[in-house]
Amino acid sequence: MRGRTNWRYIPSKPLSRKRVFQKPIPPKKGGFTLPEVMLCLVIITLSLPAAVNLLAHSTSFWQRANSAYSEDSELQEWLTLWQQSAPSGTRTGQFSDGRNWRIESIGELHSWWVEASDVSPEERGWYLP
Amino acid sequence: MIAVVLVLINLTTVILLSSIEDGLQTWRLSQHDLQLARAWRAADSARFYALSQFQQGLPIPITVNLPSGWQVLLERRSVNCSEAPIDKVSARTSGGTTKTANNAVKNADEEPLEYQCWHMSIDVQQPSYQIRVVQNLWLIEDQYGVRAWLRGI
Repeated sequence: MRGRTNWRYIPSKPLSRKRVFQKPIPPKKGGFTLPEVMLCLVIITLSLPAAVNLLAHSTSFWQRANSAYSEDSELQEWLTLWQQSAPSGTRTGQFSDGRNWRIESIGELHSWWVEASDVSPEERGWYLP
Repeated sequence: MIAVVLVLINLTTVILLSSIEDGLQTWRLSQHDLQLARAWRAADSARFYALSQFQQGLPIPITVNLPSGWQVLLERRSVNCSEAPIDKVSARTSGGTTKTANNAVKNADEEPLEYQCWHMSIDVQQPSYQIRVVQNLWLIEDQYGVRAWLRGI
């Protein structure tokens, strides 16, 4: 019958003579089994440090890319600027990132050189006004 | 439940791999930009060096080696002066002035000048980034050693 509890006998104590009638305990729904819990723990243990590591690496990765871009643009700007005046003689200097540069005049031809850094290679070239 | 866990693993892997792929693609593009800028600087440098040699009447090298493995190939071939666009474009002369090479021809009305012309290509390649920069130059020299040059297209 609907709504009616099916009572059943559950002995509370094996040695007790008292007969106690209790509601049956319903089976647990939606729980994890032990292998599932273990698998989840393994996944979390492996993937969490990996994700943190990846994030840290990608941050330094993009910092290097940004530095390479800014160093390249500084070099190009420097080239364009001094080539407009093309000073004679030898000149040396330093970029804001610490790279050294040098310009030398060989007759009309100017030779330039820029030191390498962690993210940019050494560069050398010529300029003829 | 195990199916849910497997789907989650799959999704996480897909998202992770996709973001790694995007990152690598962006990195490669940024490196390509930088290499392209360096290739142009290498080509410009080789051109200036070759012109300086030409200006002084010195031999132009076939290759110019620059730091970081950049190698520039300079190919010069003798051409008929009618091939060079000397009547249209201003040319630089070895005297440092700018005038059209055609005027230089006309100025010498009294005696016809003999001209010798070359076409020079400056080739910079970086196969690993599929970069190739080519610059063209026309070199002109008369029998008196007056030299002129102009950039080709």
